[in-house]
Amino acid sequence: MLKFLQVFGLGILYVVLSPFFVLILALYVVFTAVIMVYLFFKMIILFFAGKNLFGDLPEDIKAREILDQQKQLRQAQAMAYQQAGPLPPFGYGPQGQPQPVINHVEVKEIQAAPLPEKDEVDK
Amino acid sequence: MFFLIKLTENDKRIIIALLIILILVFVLIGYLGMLIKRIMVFQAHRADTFMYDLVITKVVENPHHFRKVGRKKNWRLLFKQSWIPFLILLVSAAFLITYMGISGNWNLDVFDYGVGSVGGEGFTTLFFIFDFANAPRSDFFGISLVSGWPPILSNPHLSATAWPSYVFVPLFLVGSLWYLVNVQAFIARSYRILIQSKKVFEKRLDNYDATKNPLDPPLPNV
Repeated sequence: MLKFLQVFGLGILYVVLSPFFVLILALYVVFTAVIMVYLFFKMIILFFAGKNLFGDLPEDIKAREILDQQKQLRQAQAMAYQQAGPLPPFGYGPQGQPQPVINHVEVKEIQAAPLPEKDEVDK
Repeated sequence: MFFLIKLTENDKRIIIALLIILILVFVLIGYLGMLIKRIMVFQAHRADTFMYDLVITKVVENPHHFRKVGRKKNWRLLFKQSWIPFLILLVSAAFLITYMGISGNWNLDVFDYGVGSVGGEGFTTLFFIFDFANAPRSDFFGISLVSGWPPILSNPHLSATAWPSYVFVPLFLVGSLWYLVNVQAFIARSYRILIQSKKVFEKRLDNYDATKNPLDPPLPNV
């Protein structure tokens, strides 16, 4: 019932606001028609200049270069990993040299002391 | 002065029927609006597709740059999507003007339906035309309401003189609707670009913890 009332309210709202929607749409139709004509002439000029209107933007080229670099880096890492062969036992790197297993920066020292004897606790 | 309205059983039925029809019309408009909104949300996601790579590689650096690149791509997409309907509209208009020029009939009415289901030079010769001005009416609380089917002015028929309208009107309608859908998508994408240009670069301090600032120097190992 609540949903039905919501839709009913929306219907009233849309009817009230419909002149504004139509006005916005009409303005955009005119605006986009101007864009169409502008881009049409731009396309013709670019065509005779040997360029393409739908070519990549400088930002697209830059982004593709970055993505290609990342892809190549990942491939190189994967190849290096395959060439190194199977991993040695836990705690050693690909070449067999010892390497830190735990990230010591993250390890915090705690004050460790032996547990008190039961008698001492009773006292 | 008190004026009391006495409603008959028939009046009550009519009022209830009118109310139900009114409510159903508003509900229908509500659902139609929700459908259009969903379609626009779907259309707007195209803006995310063409801006995604630029954002994840951090090629676009600020909201202004985002909007600038987004606008260029949006305009190009509009042109790509709309050149066919735009061409259809231009061709249909050129066809009609050329016909009117050749025939010398500059008063061609594309909505003319002829007289008595004969002749006519408009597209409406293909439809029933009702005479709503002379429809049977009855008064209901001082309001004159249509209370029956209006007389028919014209039955559907083919007219040889209406062939230019048969070509022009369907072409123009198809081109217009297609172009309007594309304009709607353009509006949806423009709005999405505006919103995302702010949202993507937004920095919030809601979950910020000053004790865990990543820019602070690390604690010395004691």
